[in-house]
Amino acid sequence: MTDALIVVALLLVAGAATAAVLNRDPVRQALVLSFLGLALALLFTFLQAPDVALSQLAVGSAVTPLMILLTVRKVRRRPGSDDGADEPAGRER
Amino acid sequence: MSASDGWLAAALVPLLALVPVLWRIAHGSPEDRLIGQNLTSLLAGLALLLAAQGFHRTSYNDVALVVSVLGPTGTLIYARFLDVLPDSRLVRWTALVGVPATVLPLCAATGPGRAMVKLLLIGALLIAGSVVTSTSGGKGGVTA
Repeated sequence: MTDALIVVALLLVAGAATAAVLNRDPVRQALVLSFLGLALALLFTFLQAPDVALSQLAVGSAVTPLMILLTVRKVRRRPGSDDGADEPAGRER
Repeated sequence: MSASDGWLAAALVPLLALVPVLWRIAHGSPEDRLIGQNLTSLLAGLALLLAAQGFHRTSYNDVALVVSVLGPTGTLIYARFLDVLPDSRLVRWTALVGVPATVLPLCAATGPGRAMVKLLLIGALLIAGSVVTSTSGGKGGVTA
C-alpha cells in the first residue's frame, strides 16, 4: 500500500514539474511551483522523511513562489513609475 | 487488509483527488488557479493526517499542522498579488465534509490524549483556513 502512495506522489511530482516547465507566465508558474512543493512534501512524508518534508514545505510551497511573485511585481512596476525611492511596504495599488 | 493498510488506502483518496486539481492549476483562469492552490493544501493536509495514522507515527502530524497553517496563508498572499479571492463552494464543502470525515475516525482510532487534541486542532485550523479563504467578503475590498 505504501508503494501505491509513493507511485501516485511521484506521478504528481512529475506532472507538476512538467506543468511548471510548460507554463510561460511567471505568475502562473509560481502557483504551479507551490503545488510542486506540496507534492514533494507529500512524497517525502510517504518515504518516511517528515523532517525533509517540513523544510520542503517552508521552502517549496511558501518562499520560492513568494520570491517569484515579488520579483515579477518589482520588474513590472519599474518601467512605468520610477519617480522617487521605491517604497515596498505600504499601499501600492 | 490490515488496519494500517486501510488508513493508507484512505490516504490515497485525497491524493488521487489532487490529479484533477493539478490540471486546473496548469490550465485555468487565475481564479481557478487560486481555488486549486487552496484545495491543494486542504487535500494534502488530509492525506498527511491519514498517512500518519497508517504509518503509526503520530509525530508525522506535525507536517499536516504546518500545511494547515501555511496553506491558507499562501492563498491570502496569492490573493493579494493576483487581486482575486474567488468565492468557492467546492473548497468550502470539501472542508466542511472532508475534514470531519477524516478527523473524527482518526480521533476514534487515536483515543483520548494529547495526540487527539492535536488532531482536533489541525482539523479546526484546516476548516477555519478553508472557510476564510473560500468566502469572498460581503463588504468587498477583501483583496484590496
